[in-house]
Amino acid sequence: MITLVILALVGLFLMIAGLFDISRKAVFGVAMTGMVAALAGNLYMWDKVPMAYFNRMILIDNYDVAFITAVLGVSMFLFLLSENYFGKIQNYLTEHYALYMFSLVGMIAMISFNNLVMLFIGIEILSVSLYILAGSEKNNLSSNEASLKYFLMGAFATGILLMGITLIYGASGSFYLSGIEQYFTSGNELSPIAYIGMFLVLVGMSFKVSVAPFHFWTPDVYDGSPTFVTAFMSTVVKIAGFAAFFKLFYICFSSVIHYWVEVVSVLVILTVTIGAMTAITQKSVKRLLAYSSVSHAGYMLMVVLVGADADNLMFYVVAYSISSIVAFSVLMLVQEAAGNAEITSFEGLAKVNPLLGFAMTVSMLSLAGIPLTAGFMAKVYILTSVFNAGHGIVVLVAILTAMVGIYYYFKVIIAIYFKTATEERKLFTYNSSSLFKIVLFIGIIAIIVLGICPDIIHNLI
Amino acid sequence: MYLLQEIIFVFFTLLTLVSAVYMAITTNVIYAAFSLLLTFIGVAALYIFASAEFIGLTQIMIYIGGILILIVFGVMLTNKVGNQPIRAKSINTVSGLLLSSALFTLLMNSIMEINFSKLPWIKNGLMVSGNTTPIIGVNLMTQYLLPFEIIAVLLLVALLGASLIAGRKDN
Amino acid sequence: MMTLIVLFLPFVAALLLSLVKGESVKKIALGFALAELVLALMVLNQYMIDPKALSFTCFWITSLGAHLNIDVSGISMLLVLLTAVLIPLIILSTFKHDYKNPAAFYALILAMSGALIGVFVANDLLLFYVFWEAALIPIYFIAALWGGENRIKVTFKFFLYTVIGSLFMLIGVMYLYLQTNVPHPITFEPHHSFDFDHLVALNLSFQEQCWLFWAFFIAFAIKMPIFPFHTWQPDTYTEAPAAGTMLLSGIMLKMGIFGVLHWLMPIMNEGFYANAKIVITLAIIGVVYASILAIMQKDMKRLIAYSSIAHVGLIAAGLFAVNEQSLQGAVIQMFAHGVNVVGLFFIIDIIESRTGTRDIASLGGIINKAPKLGVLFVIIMLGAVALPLTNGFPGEFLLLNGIFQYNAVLAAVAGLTIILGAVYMLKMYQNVMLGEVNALTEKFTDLTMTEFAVLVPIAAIVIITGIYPQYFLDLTQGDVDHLLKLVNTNIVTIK
Repeated sequence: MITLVILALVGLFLMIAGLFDISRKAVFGVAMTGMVAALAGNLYMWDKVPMAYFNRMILIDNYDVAFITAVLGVSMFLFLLSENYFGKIQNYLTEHYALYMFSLVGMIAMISFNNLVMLFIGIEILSVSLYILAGSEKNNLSSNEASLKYFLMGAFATGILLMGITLIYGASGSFYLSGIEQYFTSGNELSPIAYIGMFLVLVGMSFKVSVAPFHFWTPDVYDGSPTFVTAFMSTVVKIAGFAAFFKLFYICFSSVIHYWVEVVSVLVILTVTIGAMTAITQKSVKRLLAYSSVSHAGYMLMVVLVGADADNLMFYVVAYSISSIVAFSVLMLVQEAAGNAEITSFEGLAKVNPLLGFAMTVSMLSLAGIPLTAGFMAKVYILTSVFNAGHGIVVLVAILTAMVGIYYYFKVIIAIYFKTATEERKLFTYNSSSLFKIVLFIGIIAIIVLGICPDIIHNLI
Repeated sequence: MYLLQEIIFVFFTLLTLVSAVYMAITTNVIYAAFSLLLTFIGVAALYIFASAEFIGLTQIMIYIGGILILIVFGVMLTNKVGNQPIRAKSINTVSGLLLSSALFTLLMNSIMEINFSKLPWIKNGLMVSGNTTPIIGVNLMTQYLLPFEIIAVLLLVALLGASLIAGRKDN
Repeated sequence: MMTLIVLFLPFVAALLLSLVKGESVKKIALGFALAELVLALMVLNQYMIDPKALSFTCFWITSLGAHLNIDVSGISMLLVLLTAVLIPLIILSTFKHDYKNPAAFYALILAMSGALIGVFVANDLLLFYVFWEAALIPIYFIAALWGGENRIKVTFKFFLYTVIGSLFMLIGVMYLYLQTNVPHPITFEPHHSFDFDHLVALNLSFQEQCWLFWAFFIAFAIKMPIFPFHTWQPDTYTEAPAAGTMLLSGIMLKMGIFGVLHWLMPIMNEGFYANAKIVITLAIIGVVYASILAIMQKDMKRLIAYSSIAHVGLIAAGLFAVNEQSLQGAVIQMFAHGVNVVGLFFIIDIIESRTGTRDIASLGGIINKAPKLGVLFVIIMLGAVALPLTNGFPGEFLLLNGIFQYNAVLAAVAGLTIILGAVYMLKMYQNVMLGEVNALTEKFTDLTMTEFAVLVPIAAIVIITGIYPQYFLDLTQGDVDHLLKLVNTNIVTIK
């Protein structure tokens, strides 16, 4: 709760600060300090008795603390690697920061909700912030397109979600998770609207976390948005989205798992396959990462499918987010230097700038799930639990698509190490401060350390 | 008395449906905006029928009084920009029809199967008589205080977004 | 503890090396490799005294029940020894090359050797899998960064092939893991385990064993490679730099054989036995097919690559014939083949770096210019064609003997390998070393000191292990007996 308040206040403070002429560094400092304070407030709640606030609208236990920590930690990591993005914003700098803070508020409400109203409002705060941020490059036509597309699709998904929530209320008479859980576990015959409500909530949430076949907005939106926003959406937002998704299904609907388990397993299979198959043909690294994020959403959905082991979800989102952010931060620099995000722009990167090349390679290996990286352990955890739950087909499909995945991730590695840069590209300078290099290096180390000793964060919740 | 109720209910239902369908198929944006007005009025009336008069009035005030007026102004002011009358046309008719009719059957089926009198909240709702506005107000300030407050953030974000989108472009 | 040092020293060395700049990197790498050899010999000594002192277990991933569980058996001892002997020789063999970015090159070689040793000593299936894949990354980069013209495409094919195989194995690994049920080491609740002993104790049905067999076997077969999974191999061997080819052929393909011996045979013994006939047939087709192709090759490197498929095919056939002779033959032939093939690839590298070509037809008369090379080449080549008193002989003899016990017809076909092997090897030797000196070979100089220092130990091993193979046979006898007991009890039950 204190986390939520701190972040909202920092957002307000930043908006007011925009009236005065303050330096970019100070704004960045305020935002970072705010996030650190929020994180501290959040960590204070660790291992305490679950706390309910405001008539149990919010209930915070270890699950929520862990995921809020992941959201805040990953955002700070991303912010530290993105000085170029904020450096380029000319107008309304503080407002941009404020939007990020408010979107974090939304995410925290989404994670720690104990009442569907809170879930809905959290999703809305987050989504509205993202619609705006996606279109924040106003001179870029594709950014405008991304924003509009995201808005229309998002509004549609919101409508479906809301209808689902309403129908569930109609059946159970409660917005509270415990009330809904009680209704579903009571053993009485369930009203048909409960099923439809469940189905619509599933569709709505799937839209929000880009699960196929509701993923079609993802590539265009991820491609059109400023790369920093893409990184934010595909990591931080995914963490919050899946934390809410899992919590909702785990608490409320796990007693009727036999009604939706087949639907979800079909969604998982579709998501991993479509994500991988469409990523093959991509020539732009940004689009490739967009499609790969769809594929990874399939893995995260597997945790919902199994309906247990939040630890696995936690590990997966952290491993995926760190790897993705390292990739996106390199992409941002390359994009700035080369002017586009094509794979050809990465050719010979290892020679021109070894650190960036190495970082990109490690993150690609991790996303592809090669051993000794965090991505491998994440996949092992999830796939064993899926296998254990008896979904052998899902495991087989996941393994087959992982093979495809290796193909496209390695296209980037091949470009980095084995192709030679054009003369023009050899002269590129990749502007990065020493802070950037240190944080990037920490990211690389984290990927490898988590790949060797996953216990560090796996057994937390 | 009962018959009159029935007639009024059917009237507003038809008003809502017909105007909504017309809004969807007409190519003239102004007509669409005005038929949307009728749809909103119909829906508001249905809310009142469901003894949710507060929601009904809010619907009229916000959607009709606010949003719709804005839409009409927006359409009228931009209609002549570039000398091209704004026209709307339908695309993906077949797939759209298929999808929506599937949803329609799904919802209809379940509505037919529901035994409404059994639902607990319907019973609770019938017990409330008279003015619901104070109850909503009290609930917003007690049980739903946090969502009520957090919506402020949502509105703030929306305002912020509006100003960012309308604000000056980067050079 | 000592095993742990042997396992992690190469990784530490690789990390340190990547920080070093300048020419000294070669010597430092060689120093580390020699230190590793000394340690491996100490481990061997310890193994002779008390093998149990070499195993080591501690928690690795408690949430999965995976352990850092390493253990040395006779077969893995032999392969650790092979790795430790070959790595210094391979590093020494690169001294005449000036590879760009040498720190990375040698760091990758050392990292690779560490991962290989990890594969050979891991007693926990997940640990084994991680090392198995980890061995792939360095060799991929070695081959793709310092290789020949077509390296990118060819090495990527190699990489995809092996990774796809490994992913099938991963399904098998997870399945086996989920079948186990042992008390958790801390909470004592029912839990799963990757431990070798727990996996061997599993009671798998025949159907399960059969599909698990293929899930694992495809990964191993691609690595070896066995016909028809071999198509990546000739191209990759040809395109990789000499050191990479030596690593691939000398040590890495032993991973597949070791996998069959150490994991496949004990855990899925019924599946193993049921599918043995298919695999032996495939392997022997591969032997003949690769031998014939080897005869037709014009490029020396490709020739040796195909001969390697033939040799490995025979070893694989021996593994699946499961009797004492064939298993012992396979094990000793693994060692012999590793040493010989490294020697042969090094000789080809020497010839290529002096004349600029590997084309058999355009060379000739080198022995007149380089008698030392000629002599050492003969010794190693005779080892490869399995002449008595060379190291190739005991292995090949035992293998053919073992296969004969399994099936006389197959043994007769496999026996062709001796004749065909002699044909292509001698033909190559004749064309390259004997005959008239031509323009290309006119300025050929004899071996330098470092080259000599590589080839002499190899030739010495060829002769010593050829005359006295008993030492190695004794080393692995216990393991082989144990494996036979495991498989044979089940064969009886099937029959």
